[in-house]
Amino acid sequence: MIELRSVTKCFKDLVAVNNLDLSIEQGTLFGFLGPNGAGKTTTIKMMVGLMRPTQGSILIKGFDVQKDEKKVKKLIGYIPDRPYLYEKLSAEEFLVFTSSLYNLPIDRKFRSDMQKWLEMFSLLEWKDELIENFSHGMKQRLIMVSVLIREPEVIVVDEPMVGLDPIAIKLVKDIFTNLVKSGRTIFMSTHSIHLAQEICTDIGVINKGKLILKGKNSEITKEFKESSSLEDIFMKLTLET
Amino acid sequence: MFRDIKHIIGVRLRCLWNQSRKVPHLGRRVLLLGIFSVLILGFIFVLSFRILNHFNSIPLVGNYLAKQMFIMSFVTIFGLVMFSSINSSLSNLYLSKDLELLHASPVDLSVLFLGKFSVSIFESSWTAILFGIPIFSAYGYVYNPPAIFYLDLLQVVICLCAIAGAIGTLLTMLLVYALPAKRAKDFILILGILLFLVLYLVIRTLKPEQLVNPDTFMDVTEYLTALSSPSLAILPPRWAVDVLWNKIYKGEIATVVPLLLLYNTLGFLVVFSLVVARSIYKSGYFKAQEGRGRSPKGSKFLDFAARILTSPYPSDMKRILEKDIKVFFRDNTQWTQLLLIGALIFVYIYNFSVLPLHKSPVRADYLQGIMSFLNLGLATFVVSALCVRFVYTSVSAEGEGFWIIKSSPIQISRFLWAKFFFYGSILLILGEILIVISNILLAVDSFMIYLTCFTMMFLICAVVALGIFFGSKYAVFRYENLASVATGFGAYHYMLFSGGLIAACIVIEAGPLHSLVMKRFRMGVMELSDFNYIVVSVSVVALICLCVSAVSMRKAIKILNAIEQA
Repeated sequence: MIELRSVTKCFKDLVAVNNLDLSIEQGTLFGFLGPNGAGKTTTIKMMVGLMRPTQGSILIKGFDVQKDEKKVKKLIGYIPDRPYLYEKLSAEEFLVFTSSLYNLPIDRKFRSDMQKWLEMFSLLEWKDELIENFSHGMKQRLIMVSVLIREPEVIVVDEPMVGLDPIAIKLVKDIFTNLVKSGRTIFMSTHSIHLAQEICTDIGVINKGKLILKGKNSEITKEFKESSSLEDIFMKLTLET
Repeated sequence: MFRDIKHIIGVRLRCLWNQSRKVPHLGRRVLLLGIFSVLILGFIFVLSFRILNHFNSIPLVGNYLAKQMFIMSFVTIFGLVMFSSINSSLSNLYLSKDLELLHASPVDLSVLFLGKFSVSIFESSWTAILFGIPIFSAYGYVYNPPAIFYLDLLQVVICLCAIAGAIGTLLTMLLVYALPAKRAKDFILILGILLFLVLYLVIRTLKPEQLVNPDTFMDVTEYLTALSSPSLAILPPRWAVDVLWNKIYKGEIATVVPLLLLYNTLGFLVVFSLVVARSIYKSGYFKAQEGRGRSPKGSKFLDFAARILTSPYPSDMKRILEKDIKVFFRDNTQWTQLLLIGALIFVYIYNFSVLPLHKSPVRADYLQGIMSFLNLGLATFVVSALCVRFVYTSVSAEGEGFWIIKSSPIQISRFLWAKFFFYGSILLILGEILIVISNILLAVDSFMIYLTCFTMMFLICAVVALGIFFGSKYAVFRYENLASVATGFGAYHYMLFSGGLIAACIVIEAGPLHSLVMKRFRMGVMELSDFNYIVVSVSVVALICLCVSAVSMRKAIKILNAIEQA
């Protein structure tokens, strides 16, 4: 479903992502781990078309992100780490606006879905409020609603739990797990090793722009026999490289 | 204490310095900006110089008129700084993003206030001082006062601006404290703009140009009555004039009393502001935080208006434009600009209604033809000034939410063309209204009206497309206030280009039109060759404008497509 072929991204002299090869099957919840500045967000931005690779290509369901940009963007739902939204729109107006960008018909079904998702994320009573009055966590929840309402085949999410309260974190974890069970693919970057260990089916670790580990969540801990947890493995690998 | 104040001001300067270091081609930009500024300031100097020379040639009342203009300059600077400081102190003392950090730190309130107060006064007065330089230089050039005049001028202008800024800041603090928290900021913002508008309209409708033309008055008494300004003896601008005028006019030493009055008032206002700040600033700041934002309830009219305005557009463009309209009208820093535009248009049309064409020694029909043609350039220039504020900023207006557009399947070309057609159609209507009304007031014939309307249509296309191109080239997605984007380097660059384009088009059409006007002046009949000459020149202008539009839009699309990490 997701394929990164020798992807490199340079910013002048800095190589942010270095020759990254990655293949992710459909129905996978892929946890992309790495320390600060490892290249996680850069990789994600290239996947969703916000940046262009200096070298290499990215395929989503067989479509090249650069060549078939429009098709790819229709397939992807992107949840960024920082919830920058149109502050002068209400939550409902924002959802209508973003959905219409993806050609979703604004009909009765859409309205009822919107109601359902807003209620699930405890935003229903805020739907007529301007986004500028929202807290960071509420904005993050609103972005999630705007993506989930479209039911995209691939969800690319950058640090999903930042700013969320424990109830919302539990909700997001359940939703992601169920989406993956229903055949959706999720690419999730996170700092939280515990979160990755808890919900991800597959894990990749990136450090200094290079992929240093990739495998099934269940198999990785078995492979590193001397390490008791994913956290130990992460520490070991990132300190080594 | 002064060291701490210096820190608060210094951090702002450091940010500006770091920001400027990141600007690509800084040297080239500074050079262009310098040329543009010198041109404008030079124009003001020449204009002031000519007026003062003219005054000098009028016996008896000439110097009196020069003094009146001197007073008016100070009153205008004082008024502008005061009104502008209402907005700038609101932004610096209540809205600025760094306030959270500063208020959470153990910095003394007096230090914080004085630091922000100084920044606010500087921000609200530097433009007024800059535009004052050529005016006062013209006085210096014409009257040749002793060198100490310039030193006195410097201290007087600084004192005057600081006094005006302090009054504006005091007003803001009192209003934020007294008004209901929810709307205090909105109210002050609108009040600041309304006060400015009233001042602007009152000055224009008083017809100050009549003062230099005594023939328009019935007798000497009426003229002298019109000349006498209201008593300003207790106001700082008057003290400023008292300090400087005798030095300019007679080369005399300044009287000490008005200078002392200025310094005393400034000292008093700074201390008084500090006392007021210590008692009400912090609670005002808390109120302003509580009143953040507002509900869009009751915005059914806005929904309806947005739907109507965007109804001719395809659905993808429609959604983008509906969003733009809602965001625009919910942001008070945005829609209040419409008030300024209303005033600008009123004064523009008003100027044509009071043009004394019938008194000119040249025949009226010749003047009407020339004026109508020049009006085309002027009206397009007004439209391009509006473009800076609305079209140029339309890409940056997406702000940090631009990632939503970039990561969506909507094509950047559709996004930009939507903006082009929307702003283009509104500005086209506005431009044509300006042209038609001013032509009717000039009483020109229908041929000239059709011709200027036709040319205007193409010019507006080009000017709007250029606005989108420069707006994309110099797009800024992180800012505290969108209005600040319209005063950046890119905006000057855009004005230079659009001004050049307008001038080029005017020059191309000027030859054939002038010969037509001259033929009519000599009572000749328009021949086919004259008509062909005009058709060719208008076609060339249309072709240039269409090419500029196409190239600008193509380049803008390319630039936005290439933008990374929005």
